[in-house]
Amino acid sequence: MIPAPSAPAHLLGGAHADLDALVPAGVVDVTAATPVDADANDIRLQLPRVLLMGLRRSGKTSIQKVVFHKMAPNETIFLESTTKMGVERVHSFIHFSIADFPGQIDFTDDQTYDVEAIFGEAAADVTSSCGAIIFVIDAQDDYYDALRRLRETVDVASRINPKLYFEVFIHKVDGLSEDAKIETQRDIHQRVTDELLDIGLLDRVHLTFYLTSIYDHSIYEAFSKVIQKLINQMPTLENLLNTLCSSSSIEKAFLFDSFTKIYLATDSSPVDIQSYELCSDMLDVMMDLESIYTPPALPPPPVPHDRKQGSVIRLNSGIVLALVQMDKLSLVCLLRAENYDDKAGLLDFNFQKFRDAIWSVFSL
Amino acid sequence: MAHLASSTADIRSAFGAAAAAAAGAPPLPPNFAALNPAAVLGLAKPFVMSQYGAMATAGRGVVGVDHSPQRAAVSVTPPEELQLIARPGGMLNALSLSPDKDFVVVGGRDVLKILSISANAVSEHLNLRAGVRINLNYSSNDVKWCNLYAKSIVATAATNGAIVIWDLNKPGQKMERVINEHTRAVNRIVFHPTDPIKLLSASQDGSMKLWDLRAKAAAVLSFESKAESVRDVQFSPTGPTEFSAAFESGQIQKWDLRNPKNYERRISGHNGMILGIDYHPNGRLLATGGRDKMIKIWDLKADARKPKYSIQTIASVGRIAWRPSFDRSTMEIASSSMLTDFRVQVFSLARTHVPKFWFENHTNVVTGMEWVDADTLWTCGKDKLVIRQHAATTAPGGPFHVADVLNSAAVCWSPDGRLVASMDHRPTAAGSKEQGGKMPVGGTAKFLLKPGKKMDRAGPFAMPDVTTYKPSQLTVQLDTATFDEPIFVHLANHYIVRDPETEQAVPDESVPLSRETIIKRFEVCCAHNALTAANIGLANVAQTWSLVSMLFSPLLVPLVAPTDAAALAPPLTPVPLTPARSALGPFSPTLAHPDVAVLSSSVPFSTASSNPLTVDPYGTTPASLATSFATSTLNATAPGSLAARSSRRPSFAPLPPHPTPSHARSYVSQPMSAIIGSAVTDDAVAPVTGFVQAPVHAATAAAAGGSVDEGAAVGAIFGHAALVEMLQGLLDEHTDQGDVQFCCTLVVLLLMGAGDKRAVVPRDQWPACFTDTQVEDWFSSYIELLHRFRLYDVAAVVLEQCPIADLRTKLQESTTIYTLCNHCYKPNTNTNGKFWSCSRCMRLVNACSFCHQRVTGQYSWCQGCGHGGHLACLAEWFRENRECCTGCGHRCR
Repeated sequence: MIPAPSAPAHLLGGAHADLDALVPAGVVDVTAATPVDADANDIRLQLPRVLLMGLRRSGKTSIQKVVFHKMAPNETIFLESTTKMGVERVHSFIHFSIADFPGQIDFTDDQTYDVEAIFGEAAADVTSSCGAIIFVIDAQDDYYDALRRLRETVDVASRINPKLYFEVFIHKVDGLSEDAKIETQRDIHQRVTDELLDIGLLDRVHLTFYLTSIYDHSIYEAFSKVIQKLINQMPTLENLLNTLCSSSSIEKAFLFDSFTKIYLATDSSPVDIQSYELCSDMLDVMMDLESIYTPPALPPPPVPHDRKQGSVIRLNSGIVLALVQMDKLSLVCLLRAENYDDKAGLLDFNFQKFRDAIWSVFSL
Repeated sequence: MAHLASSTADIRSAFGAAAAAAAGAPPLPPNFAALNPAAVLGLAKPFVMSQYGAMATAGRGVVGVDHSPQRAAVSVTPPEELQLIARPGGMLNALSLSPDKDFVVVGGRDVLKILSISANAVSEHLNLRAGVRINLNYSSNDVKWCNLYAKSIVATAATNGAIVIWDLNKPGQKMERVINEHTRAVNRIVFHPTDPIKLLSASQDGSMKLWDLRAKAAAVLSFESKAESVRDVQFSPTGPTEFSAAFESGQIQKWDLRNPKNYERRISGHNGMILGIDYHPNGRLLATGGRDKMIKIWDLKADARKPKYSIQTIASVGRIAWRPSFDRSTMEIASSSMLTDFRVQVFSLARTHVPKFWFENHTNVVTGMEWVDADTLWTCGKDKLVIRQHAATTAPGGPFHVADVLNSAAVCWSPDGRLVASMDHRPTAAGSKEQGGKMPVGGTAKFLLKPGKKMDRAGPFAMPDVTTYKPSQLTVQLDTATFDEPIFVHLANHYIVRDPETEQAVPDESVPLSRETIIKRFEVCCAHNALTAANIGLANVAQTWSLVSMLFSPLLVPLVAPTDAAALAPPLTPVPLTPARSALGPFSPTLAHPDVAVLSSSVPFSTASSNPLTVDPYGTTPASLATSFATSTLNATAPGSLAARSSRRPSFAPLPPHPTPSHARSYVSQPMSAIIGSAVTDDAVAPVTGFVQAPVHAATAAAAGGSVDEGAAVGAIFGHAALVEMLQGLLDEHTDQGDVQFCCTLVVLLLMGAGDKRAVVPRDQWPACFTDTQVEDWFSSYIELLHRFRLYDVAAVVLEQCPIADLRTKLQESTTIYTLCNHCYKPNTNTNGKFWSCSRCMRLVNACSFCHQRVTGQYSWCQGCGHGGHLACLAEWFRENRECCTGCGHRCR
């Protein structure tokens, strides 16, 4: 489904590895449709680059394959170790690229690599600036080496780009017991904090820790939170969803990017894993169905954002799942049946208003 | 009433008056009455049924609200124990009681109301969400009533991120001030417990801000958490400058108002978000509850990283609240869940595994709760109800004491036939009522107080030791003698299911086996098994095996059509061998059958198969034993008669003692144990059923053995059908006794060609006595038994020979083999099947100790020191040396 890179990658040879200039050989496009020319109607959200770093065999490529390629998690054990830089461009509603760094190579060595190009923030072009570093740590292995590498990375990268977000994924926690999870997180957190305090960076970097596993939805949730940090409009989106929820008696609403299943925003009530799984599964079903009935030759025409397209699933627990598609975004709502039954028209009106509001937010 | 300042600007004057208010019992604020006199008058009535249903107050299970005066008089429930229900209309997110506990403010998306509380009613007092311009400021995430020093101030956190201050004494529009400084929603607001001007807000944007209600300016202090959204925040009840906050990232941070730059302490508390936090009134214990279905209680004075207590709940924890001033020795905490569970559960730290009691009056998630005193709890929920519940009442709607109805007796069988039962001692119902459902606590409460000091003067820092609940219980262990473990283990280890001679030779699949080979092999195995049983004194089992060898070999070769066998002995009717439970009775006529006696005595003695017990495959048995056994068998092969049979029994008596002394205890089946065994193990397929050699069985075996002698001839004599029936009887007998070991071994020998694939009986030619379900039952029970006694290798051998392929796959599925590197003890992650070297420590796994090269093929090692390697290397080394080549000092030779 995804074309494999044909030409050998040669990006790591130069002393100045400008990422985008040298990468094309290894570029893989995750594209919902053929990228249409940006016209006035095609509103998209351009986000800075996200780097996936970590030691070898920590699970970086697996994360990428599972989140963006729908690879079954148990197939990831057959993935070869990554030897060359792979850059993926995500062309969905959100546009950003993910750089998968081979774990063997230390990119913080500024003699060999153009660290400025890797971590820097380009004032003019948001595509080539770096927004966040996801540092993956294998929780089932000794993580002392990983922590040392993390410290070096934070040290170098934060000097170049102080606005960088450092997201530490304590990965593969599916093999740990509940107590061990907490203890590992605490231990890693403590060690990193101590080391950063020693080099005087603690107050200046944004460092967040997540416990993740590809075998459940935690990786999607963590990835969503990373992306949410890069979205400047996030508070506005959240408040819009809050307003929608309180005016339409919706229990929980997620605004998904349709093709990556990342949620850009949700209302401020606490996310419980079950409802997130329900909503994300529903989105999955809808996208799969759509791909069945769309001729492969023709890319699905983008749904104009002002046209209604959606579906409703009723659960036997008296909950209604409503999905409203708007271009490449999907709004998935959980609401009680009694709030849906008589008020479908009202809801539709509210969804329409919400859609308009979202578009005016992103058109700015 | 001077303390009711007319605006927040006058709070300072109210502050001064607060002392006066605190001195006497503060009366009902007169302004409230002035605002809504009807409501005050309404207090006299039991309940006012609103015309619009907005304040319908009667609910299910409410006692004492009946309008009939007699019924009310009859009711024994004191008014303060009444369950009160109000329906303010709309889902509720939070509630807060006024400092005097006479009003309650409730807030939700569509509601913001003040309800007044009287002895037996709650009624609407004031609707703050009134007016023409209703916006998001009127829908609240959280509401809080200010403290004793500013009784008219209420704050709400709106869903749009605004904090709204309401002054209830203001005429007309009550909204006093709207603070719009948080960019994202505010999840929690909290007033300082003693300082009326300080309000702390916790927001989704990850910051906490402290507000001065007097100054209409920006926040006084802002605390940037550098963590994710703040879900809950609370001031410490004892430290005036301390507060703790709970985060979506699972962190708990403790802050000091004097240092707004950084937190004082951080605890990685939960996996996933924390939703509720509550300080114990002693200021030392902090409880947190999160999405990971845990309530954790932290001792803030200790430096431990682990929680002092952990309580596992069945659903994500939403809100938690300590039960105030109850019994200090059994600290208790109430919790509500975020979804699916609509109860308010109260846990005691003395017994964390089961809730002490719960309230189940809500029909949707409980979102807010507050204790008034030790027994009165106010709750509100998404079911649009506000309920006052009482913990000590016995009226309907009161608490459900779950611990009292738990099953407190348990019984369990162990695989070796022991029975353990345990029973709990319960307090009587009268006792539990008096103590308000107090749980039995094993021992008295201890306090960290100096002796002689009064508890009240110890101050709030006194940290009582929670006495863990110890049930007074009685445990009984019975040895039912239904199962003899050493015998089972010995037989499991020594029974063979394939001929040891053929096992070593590689079978040539192409050459079909001759009938003689198959029978020979069957008899060798049976003979070995008989010898095994005889070695440990199980005479009757040995007898059974030798009979099996003689009787059932015709069943092995399905090529012989049953009709042929029947044709050999046309006059014979099938022998009516019923599966006998009674001892000897039914067999006597069979034995007396003249034809059988004549035939068996006239058939010539066949050397090939008649005396299997002289075959000694291992040559380890003492010759004397073999001889004596052979002799006895020869005795047995004398023409069948009752006399011969009775004389045979004593011939086993002079058996030499078994070589292993530990097995030397009595193996003779006792009639007593047989009775117990048959009484208890009615269900013959249960895995822990006993293993009993009853005299019944001995009788069967002896009876059958006495009547027939020569193996090959037997089939001809009895006919196929009779043999099958006999086999059925034998298997039924053993199944009834729970002896699946015998059944499985026999199945393998009969159906699986003693382990040779060429001799396997196809499924359609199985004797009728083997049904799929029965074979499945035998094998699954036997495998489970073997696993329980950790005889994994035996289990593997037996499983390999299981005739039902599906069952084989099923039972093999649960088998996992873990391989570890012998240097770093990490699991081997090499998935391609070969692991000469460890991928983590990059060293050879089990290299030759001598040449340090990898060993393929045969690996020889010293069982004393564990070192080994290539056979050639070791041979070379040990030609000249006696000690181990690694220098470990072990004298291997």
